Amino acid sequence: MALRHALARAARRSFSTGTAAPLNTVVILGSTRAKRIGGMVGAYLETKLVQRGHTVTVLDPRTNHDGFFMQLIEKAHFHYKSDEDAPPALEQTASVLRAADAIVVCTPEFNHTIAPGLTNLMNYFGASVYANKPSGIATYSAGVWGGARCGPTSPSWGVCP
Amino acid sequence: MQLSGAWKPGTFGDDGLLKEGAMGARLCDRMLDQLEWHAHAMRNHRELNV
Repeated sequence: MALRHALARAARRSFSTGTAAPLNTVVILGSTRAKRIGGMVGAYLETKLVQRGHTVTVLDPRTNHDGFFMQLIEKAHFHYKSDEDAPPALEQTASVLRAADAIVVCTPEFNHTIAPGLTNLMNYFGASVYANKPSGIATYSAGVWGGARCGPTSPSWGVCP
Repeated sequence: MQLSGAWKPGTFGDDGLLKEGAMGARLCDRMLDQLEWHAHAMRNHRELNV
């Protein structure tokens, strides 16, 4: 029993010290304002992940693909049939999400839920894109709860909280 | 992680990053510890099932 605990501790240490293979992570921003706190929180998350030796791709609805995700799209990525051409921005973003080992969403709290920019970027992709990938949920707000009420809405994409 | 009072002066340092030692920064480290552990375990699981 003691040996098993020691092995488990060693395994935890090997992960936390970055001796395991680097992860391919994606940070998704929810705020779409020009002047925003979300960019700073996202930059902090990116810095921390890079310090741990992981690769980071930031998906920002405001800047990615010339603001493609700043508008509503006719239909979701999973609604395109095999003989139809999905918009390149949808295809490329789906590829980024499929290749990810972990996802971190970074969102402000709007009306006790997540920001519409985050919904607009993530909800056009089916659960299979997010399957078997853990997510970190970073929320922020001006109040004392720090966006705690919008965090529980995020795992509905099928990612682990 | 939750970052409360995100708009308050002093939450972020001059470099634009969260100040180390702040509650938000500590929560972030703990969140990333758990995320790493789960991500490695789930990646191993995916690779075993290919």
